[in-house]
Amino acid sequence: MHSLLLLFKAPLQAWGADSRFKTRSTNKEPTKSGVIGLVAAALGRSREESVADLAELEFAVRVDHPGSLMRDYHTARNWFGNKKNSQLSTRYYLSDAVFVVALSSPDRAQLETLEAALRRPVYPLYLGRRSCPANPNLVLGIKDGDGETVLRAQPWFAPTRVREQAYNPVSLQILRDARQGEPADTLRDTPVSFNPEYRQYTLRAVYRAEPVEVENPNGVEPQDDFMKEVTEA
Amino acid sequence: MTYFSRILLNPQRREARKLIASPQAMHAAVLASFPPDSPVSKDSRVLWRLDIQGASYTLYIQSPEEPDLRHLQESSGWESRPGETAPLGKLLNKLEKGQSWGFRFTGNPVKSLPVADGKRGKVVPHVTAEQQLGWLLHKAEQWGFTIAQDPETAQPLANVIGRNDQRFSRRNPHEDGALHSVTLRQAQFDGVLVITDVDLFKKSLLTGMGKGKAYGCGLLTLRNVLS
Repeated sequence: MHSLLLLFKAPLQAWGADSRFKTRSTNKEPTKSGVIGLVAAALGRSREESVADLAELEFAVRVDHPGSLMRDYHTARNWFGNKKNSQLSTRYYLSDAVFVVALSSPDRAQLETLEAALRRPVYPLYLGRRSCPANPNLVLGIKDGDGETVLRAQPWFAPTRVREQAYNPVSLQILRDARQGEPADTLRDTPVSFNPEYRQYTLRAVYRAEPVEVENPNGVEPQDDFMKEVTEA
Repeated sequence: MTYFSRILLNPQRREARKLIASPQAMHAAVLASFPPDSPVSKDSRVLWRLDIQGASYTLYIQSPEEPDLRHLQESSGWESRPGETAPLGKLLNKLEKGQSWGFRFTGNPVKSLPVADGKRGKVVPHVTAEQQLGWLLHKAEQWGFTIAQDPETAQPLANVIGRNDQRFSRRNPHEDGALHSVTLRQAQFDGVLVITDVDLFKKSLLTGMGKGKAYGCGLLTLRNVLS
């Protein structure tokens, strides 16, 4: 098993799994459909083309920094038409979030093709939504091992500000495709077709793996003023 | 003897999430830190408070008896961060009239509406941050302290730093266990207080202030005024 690692560290990301119509939500972690859409864009596939080969990749995410939820009251208007009405929508984004994503496959050549495409993408790359351009250091490379194992071995990618405020050690959440018999949540984010006339997604079982503990030498020792006053009185 | 304890909860853990989400579950878990024959006294009771700052969840417990926090740590804490407990007595002995202390307090700000015949009316919550701060300024006197004032602007040195509405259902033992829905409005305050009546202040510290004491309200913690 080999894993292609991607770092998602742009100012804004949006990963909706079930939004329809005028409220466009975001999940707290990247969705498989969003990431596969990103890879398909890098490969230059049109929306009508099949993504079945990409949907078969195993998917795992590590949450390096959850970021914060941002709500955008969004208006759009056609300035050239006769219609005067603004189209209103509410869009949610994750701001300043950092994720490491692993796409795993036994076929290393396939991952190498994807890696090359992501380094020289045909279409521009976005983290889940058109208004969220991807960061330049997106591709971390291919490692041997399944997604969860490889993610456990990665260093922590949080920004300095986050490190300095966090404790030592920190624990990072890992979510991955569930295997047979594991307790799982379901999410409708496995893409079947991105064809705009016939978009379709199927269910994916998501397993919350045991969080990984990472050393954080810049971190603060939990200092507690209230406890200190009692113990040092 | 009174003890003060703290334990960090790990929000990644299922049991911890349950406690964080439900003040009833947390109350039960806190009380489970004491043996069933733990003495009940009027002068002091078990109080707790959950402080949430970013991703860190700190549970403070003040209790007449030393708690056994191992089960909490096993089910909802961190293996590498055991709970800490220390006697509160020394800090209590240090308190004197006129002293200034930094404080944090989570309360349940409510008032009762006036009705005829001097009876107590319907209890309604204070809703806005201004009302809630006003409630604290008004109540402080009954609890043996006042809120310090900024020498320049003469504004009270206290802020509402968090507001939270808890909703849950509860069985009423007086009505054959009928289910009632409970709404608990919590406000957390940070500020500086000045002790005006030491004995009254100590009593308020030990017995808790205001309503909702079983559900994470009423515990006031002190810290150095500079920090």
